[in-house]
Amino acid sequence: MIRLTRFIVQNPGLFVNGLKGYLNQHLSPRLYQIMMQYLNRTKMTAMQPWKRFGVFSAGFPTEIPAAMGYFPGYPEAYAALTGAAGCSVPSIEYAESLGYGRDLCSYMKTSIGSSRMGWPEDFGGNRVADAYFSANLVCDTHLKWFESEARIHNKPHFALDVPSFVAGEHENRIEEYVDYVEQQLWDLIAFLEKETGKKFNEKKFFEMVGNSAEICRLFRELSEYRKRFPANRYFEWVRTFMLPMVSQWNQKDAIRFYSKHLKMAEKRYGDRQTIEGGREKYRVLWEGITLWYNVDLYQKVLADKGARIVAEPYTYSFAGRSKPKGSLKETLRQIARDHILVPFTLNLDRRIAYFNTLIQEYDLDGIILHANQSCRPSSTGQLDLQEALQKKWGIPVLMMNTDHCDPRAYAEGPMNTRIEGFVELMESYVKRKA
Amino acid sequence: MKLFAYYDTGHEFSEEIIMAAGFTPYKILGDVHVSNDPADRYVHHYICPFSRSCLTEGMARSKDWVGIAFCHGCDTTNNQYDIWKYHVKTDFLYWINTPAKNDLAANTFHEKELRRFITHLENHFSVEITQDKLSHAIQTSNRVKHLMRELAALRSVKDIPNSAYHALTRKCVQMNKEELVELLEDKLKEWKNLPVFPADREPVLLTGSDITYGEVMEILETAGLRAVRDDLSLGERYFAQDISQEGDPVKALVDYHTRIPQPPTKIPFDARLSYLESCLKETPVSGIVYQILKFCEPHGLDLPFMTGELKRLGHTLIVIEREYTPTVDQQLVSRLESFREIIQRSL
Ligand code: SF4
Ligand code: SF4
Repeated sequence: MIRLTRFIVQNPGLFVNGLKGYLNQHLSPRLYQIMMQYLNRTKMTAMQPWKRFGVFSAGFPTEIPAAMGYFPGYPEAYAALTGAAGCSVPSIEYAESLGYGRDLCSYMKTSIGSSRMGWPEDFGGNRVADAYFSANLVCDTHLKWFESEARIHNKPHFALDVPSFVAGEHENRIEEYVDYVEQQLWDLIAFLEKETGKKFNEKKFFEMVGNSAEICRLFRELSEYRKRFPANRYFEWVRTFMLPMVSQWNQKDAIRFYSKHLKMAEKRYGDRQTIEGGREKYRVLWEGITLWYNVDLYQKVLADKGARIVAEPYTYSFAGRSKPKGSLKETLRQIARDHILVPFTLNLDRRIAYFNTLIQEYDLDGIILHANQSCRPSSTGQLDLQEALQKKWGIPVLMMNTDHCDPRAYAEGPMNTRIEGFVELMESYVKRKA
Repeated sequence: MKLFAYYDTGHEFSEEIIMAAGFTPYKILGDVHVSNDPADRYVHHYICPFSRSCLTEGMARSKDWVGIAFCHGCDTTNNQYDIWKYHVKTDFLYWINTPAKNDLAANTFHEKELRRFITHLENHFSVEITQDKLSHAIQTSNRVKHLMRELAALRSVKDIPNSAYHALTRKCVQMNKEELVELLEDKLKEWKNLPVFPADREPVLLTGSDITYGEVMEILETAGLRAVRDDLSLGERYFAQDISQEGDPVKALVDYHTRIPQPPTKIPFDARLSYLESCLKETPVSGIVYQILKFCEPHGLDLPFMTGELKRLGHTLIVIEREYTPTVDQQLVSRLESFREIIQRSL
C-alpha cells in the first residue's frame, strides 16, 4: 500500500488515467475483484516474511516451486495490466534511459522501468523476490531478464532450458528433449529443497498439478463455445479472462470461476450451434500477444465493422497443462512434454497445420498476424505462415506491425486504413465462401 | 575439400566433427555488401540484419555446400531454422540444440546432441567419424588456436591494423584448416617483424555483437583506436582455450565449450564479465568499445548490466549502436574520436 500511495502522490495524473484505463477494460466486477485480489496478495508477501515470493516468467512450471510455498509473481502480467491501464510509456522510457534499447521487449522494459521507479504491481512494479524462475521456451529474453533481476537483488535464479522442436524433426526427438527437461526439473526440486531447507512436498505438488490441469480443461472447454455462433466470448474479454489461469494465484477459486462460466455457456448454447443473433459478420483469428493498451481496437475499430476475434492461439497457449501421472517421474516428464509443445511456439510445419485446423473449426473469415516488433520470437515465421494460409484458403491475412505493450509503435491512421482494406477483403472472401 | 556450412550466432559449433567427416567447415557470415532483399521476403525487417544476410547467403550459395548445420544460439537461429528449411535448397539441414546452460544436465544433453549429429553425418554421407579422426581434427584445431593466440597477443605490441586481425579471424572459420595453419605460420613470422605499436593509436578492448565484416574495424582505425583484446566469436572466443586431447574426443568438445569465453546467449552471464575482467587485468587498455548491432537482442539485453559493472570497476567505455552497413559511418567515427580524446585526457 505504501508503494501505491507514494505512486498516487507522485503521479496523480497517471493514476487517474490508469484508473480510466482499467475501467475501459472488458472486466466483470468478479474478474476485476480477482485481479485486485491477485495484486494485493502479491503486495502482502512483503509483509509476510515467513512466506516465500517467487518471480516467474510466463510458461514456467510454477506448480513445482508453488508446492514448496513460493507465491507466484508474474512481471509480464503486471506489465500487461500496466499496458491495459495505458501507463506503460513512462516505465518503458525509464528503462530505455538505463540502456535498454528501443527494440527490446516492452514487457521487460515496462517491468524494469516501473520496478526501478518503485511503482506498485498495479503499475508494473515488481518487488524483490526470494528467488527468480525463468524458462526460454518462447524467448531468451526471459532468461536474461530474470537473471539480471536476480543478480541485481543478489537472489538465486533458476533457469529452465527448453529445447526448440524445429520443423521437419521426427517425433522421437520430443522424447530426447523431454529427457533433458526432466533432468532440469529434478534439479529444480533440488534447488528448492536447498533454498527452503525442506523436503519436496509431493502431495502438494500433485494437488497443484491436478488443479492446473482442471483449470486448463475448463478453459479449453469454454473455448469450444467460441466455435459456436455467435462466439461465446471475444478476445477483448478472453485476454483478461485468462488471468486466473495464468496467475495460478488461487487455484480453487479459479476452478470455481471457470466452472461457473462453463455452466453459463452450457445454458446459453445447450446443444445448439447457433443462438439468436446468429453468426458474426466476420470471424477473425488473432495471432500473437494482444495490444494491451488498445482495447478499443477490438471492441470498437474492428467490432464496428463486424469483425470479431473468436480465436487466438496466444491465450490457448496457457491452457496446455496435463493431469498428473502415476509417479513423480512420469508427471515431471509430462510437464516437460507440455512445455515443449505450446501453440505459441510451434514450429512452422505444426503452426501451419494448426492454423488450417483453426480456420475450419472456427469458420474463420480472416486472420490478423501481430508482427510484434519487440517480441521477435513470436513474429518470426509469420510471412511463411501468411503465404501458406493464403495459398490454401485464399483467406485474407492482415500483418499488423506494432507492439504489444508500447503504444508508441501504434500508428492509428495508417492502421485504420489497413483495417478497412482487410475488412473489404473479408467481405469478398465471405461471399466467395458462401 | 568440400565445404560443409554452419550457421552459428556464437562459437557453439564443433567444427572438429566436420573436419573428421572429411569436409571443410565453413561458417556462414553473410555479406554486408549484398542486399538483404531475398531474405526480407521471409523475415521481418525488425529482426537482426546479420541473420537476414546469412539467410540471403544460404539461399544463394547452398549448392556450394554439401550440407548445413545450425546451432541453437540466440533467438534468431532457433526461430529462423524453419525458414531455412522452407527456402534454402540443401540435402542435409541439421539442427543441433546446443544448450543455453552450462551445468551437468546441459553438458550431458550437449554430448548426446553431438553424438546424434555424428551418427546423422555418418549415415547421410556414408563416412565413418572415428575417434582417431576426431582426435586428429582436435589436434589441428588446437594448432590453429595456438597460432591465433600468438598472433592476437602481438596486437598490443606491434603495428597490426584492426582489419588485418579481423581478416584472419574470418579465415579461421571459413578456410581449410591445413591451409589455414600454413597461412597463420607465415603471418606469425610477418607480424613479428612489424614495427612496434604506433604512438598515435589508443589500445582498447572490443566487446559486444560479433563483428562479421572488416569495415567496422576500419571505423575504429579511422578514429585512432586499436582493438588489442576482444571477446568476440570471430576473435578470442574462438581461440582462447584449447580442446583437451585426453580421453573421449566428444566429451572433450563438450568440456571445451564450457571453458571458452561465454557468449551473451549463455547463462549465467557473469562468465562473460569474468572473461572481460581477466582481459583487462592481463592487457593494459585505455578504454572499452562496446558496440551493438541494431536489433541484436542478446547484446542489447546484456548491455545495462555489463556496462554498469565495467564502469563500477573503474573502466572508461563508450557504447555505440551500429547499422548493418559497409559504409564507414562518419558520425560513429566522430564519436569514437571524441572518446579517444577523453581517454587521452584521462591518462
Ligand atoms: S513478449 Fe516476447 S520477448 Fe517479451 S517476454 Fe514475452 S515472449 Fe519474450
Ligand atoms: S547479431 Fe545478435 S541477434 Fe544477430 S545473430 Fe548475432 S547474436 Fe543474434
